[in-house]
Order: sequence, then C-alpha cells, then structure tokens
Amino acid sequence: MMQIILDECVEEIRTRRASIGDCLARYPEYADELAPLLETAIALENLPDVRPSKAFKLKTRVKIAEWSAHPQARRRALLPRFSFARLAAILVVILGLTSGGAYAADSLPGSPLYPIKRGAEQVQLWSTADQESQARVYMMFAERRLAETKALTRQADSNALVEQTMTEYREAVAAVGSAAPTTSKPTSLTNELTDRLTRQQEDLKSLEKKVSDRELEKSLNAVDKVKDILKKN
Amino acid sequence: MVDDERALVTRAARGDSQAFAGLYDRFVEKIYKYVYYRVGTVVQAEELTSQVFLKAWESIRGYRWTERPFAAWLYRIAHNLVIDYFRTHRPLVSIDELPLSDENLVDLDDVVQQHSDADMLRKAITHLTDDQQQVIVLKFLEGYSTEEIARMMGKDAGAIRALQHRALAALQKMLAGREERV
Repeated sequence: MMQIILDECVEEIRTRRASIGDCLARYPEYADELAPLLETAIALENLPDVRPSKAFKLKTRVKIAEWSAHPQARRRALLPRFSFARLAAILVVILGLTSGGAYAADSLPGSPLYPIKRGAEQVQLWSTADQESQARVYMMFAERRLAETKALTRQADSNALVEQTMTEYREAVAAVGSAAPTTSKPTSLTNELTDRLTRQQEDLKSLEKKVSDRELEKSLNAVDKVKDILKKN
Repeated sequence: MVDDERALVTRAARGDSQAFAGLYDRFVEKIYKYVYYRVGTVVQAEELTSQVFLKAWESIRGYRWTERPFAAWLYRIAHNLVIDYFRTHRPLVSIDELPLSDENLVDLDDVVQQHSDADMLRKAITHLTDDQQQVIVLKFLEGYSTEEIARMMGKDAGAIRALQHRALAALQKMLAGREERV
C-alpha cells in the first residue's frame, strides 16, 4: 500500500498537481514515513539538468557518418556498400590515369560517376592522419557539397537531390568543427577555416529563393555553430 | 512521433546512416544523462554514450519493433555497458565535473551550493543497487512514468514501485547520514 501511495504522490508532485503538504494531509497515517521520501524525490527532481557538450555531440555525429563507411563496424550490413566503396576507389585510381578521373570529379549527385567521386573522397579521408589536414579535407568536402547544391539548383526536378546534398553539406561543416584541433588562441588554421566558412555563408545567401527557407536556415545555423566552436577553441 | 521513429528505425536497420543519425539526435541527451548519473564523470559518460550508439549501430539490423519503445532497447545497451564499466572501474565523482546547462549559470553562490547538494545526491545514486539506479534515473532525471519504466525494464509496475520505494528510502538514509556527520 505504501508503495502505491508513494508513487501516486511522487507523480502528482512531479506534475505540479499536488504539494508535499497535500499528500501528507491526504494520508496522515503514512505522513511520518512519506515526508522524508517525498523530500528526497523533490531533491532528485531538482538535480541540475545535465547535457552533453555541443562538441561531444558533433564529434559523435561525425563518428556515425564514419561508422557507415568503416569495414569493422557493422561488417555484414555494410558489405555491399563497402565493397562498392573499394571498387570505387580502385576505379578512381584507374580513372585517375585517364581523362575520366577529371570527369568524375565534376560529376553531380544523381549522375553515374558521382559514387566514384565520393569513393575517392573516402580514400582521401582515410589517408589523412593529422587533425589539421582532416579539418581542411572536411572543409573541402563542404565546399564541394555547396558547389554541387548550386549546380543542382540550376537543374529541373532536383529538389530531393538538393535537400540531400545540403544535409551532406551540413555534415561536412560539422565535421570541420569536430576535426579542428583545440587551441588556446586563434591560429592560422582557425582563421583560414573561419574565412572559408564566411565565404560559404555568402554563397548560401545567394541560394535564397532557390532552396527552401528551412534548408537555408539550417545550413546557415550549422556554419554559425562551427564558427563559434572555432572561436572558442 | 512513434510512426516517425519507427520509419527511422526501419531505415537505420537497412544501413541508412542518416536515419541512424536522426535517432542519435533524438536520444543522445537522454542516454548521456542516464549514463552520466550512473558513472558520475563527464569523460566516462561521453565515452560510454558514444559506445552505446556504436553498439546500437552494429546491432540495429537485428532489431525488431515490439510493444516496448525503441528507447528501451537503447537503455538496455547503455545499462549493459555501465555494468561492464563497473566490472573494471570504481565510480569516480568530482564536484568540478558536474556540468550545468548555460541557463543554470546564474549566480555563483547558488551554483556552488547547487553543486554541493547535487554532488552529494549524485554520489548517493551511484551507491544504489543497479535496478534502483535505473528506476531513479529514468523516473526523476528522464521523466518517464512508472508504467513506461516497467515496459522498458521488462518488469511490472508493482516491481517498479517497490524499487522506487526502496531507492528513495536508501537515498534518504544516505543523505541523512551525511548531514549528521557534517
């Protein structure tokens, strides 16, 4: 019985439907035992709100993107995709010796050569070891995604691809913030990255009316957030 | 909301990392809070939260949608990782590591007092039994109802009420003991 009364009082107090006094008055025979338990429950309710840092959330978000292409993570599920990525990488090497490599580099989402371009990017990322270089590589990916978005907006019936490419743009921007090394004061790298992000903001603004307001706002906010992270670094 | 969640889970189970990222965005704060209040340090909470989502990504292909919420599956992974963590570590707690959201940083004196009280309570939570910790965190820190917690933990509501009662009594006793010593 006590457990039911306690649960009822806890629920009512948590949802502001009753006070401790109300509960104790309703169940005077249990008041001595209830009072300290309800005080403890309120203390628990008042514990400070704990949230993960923005930097951690971004870092893990980037990790998720990496897991999807990583052979050790989720091996079975990703086997076809990873095999394709490998195949794409091999094709890039072959195509790199021919004029076709340059052709793939100019390809847009939805085109047959586009997966080769993305495969080459994965290879480039895997071969980049230090944080500074990684931040620059992610920045280059972000610039590419933005250029692709601009090109796609000039094509008919490309709304879905534009939206997808803008999402990938934001992921690349977030990855820049995560990869940039932490420093106590601005460095040539953080200045360079901030300048490049500022230029991207200008480019994004030029897409007004060509992409949805929501996508544009989310992308501008993503850039702002990463600029903040770079500033705080 | 549930349909939307189900669609994300279905896509993630097919290997769609963007859908999984959507699930991550939806649950990361809850899982982090759950882990944080059980291990007591930011560093370990971040490490374990990251592991929870890696483990979820590795296993989501075998996930089957049931009456139990998807969150229950994530909490189960988090719970198992916390248990593994305590097999090899002892809980470490420090006032300095208690993170506050920006809006809580109002007055320094208030914050110091809040840190002190909260730290004592947080330490006490880590001394509860495993099931009691789960109930306290899910109820008072995550805001789930008794019935929801019962579904998540695969127990009936009566068992959750009993755990809640014993947990609150144990916490009250620990805190009273600390105050008497002070």
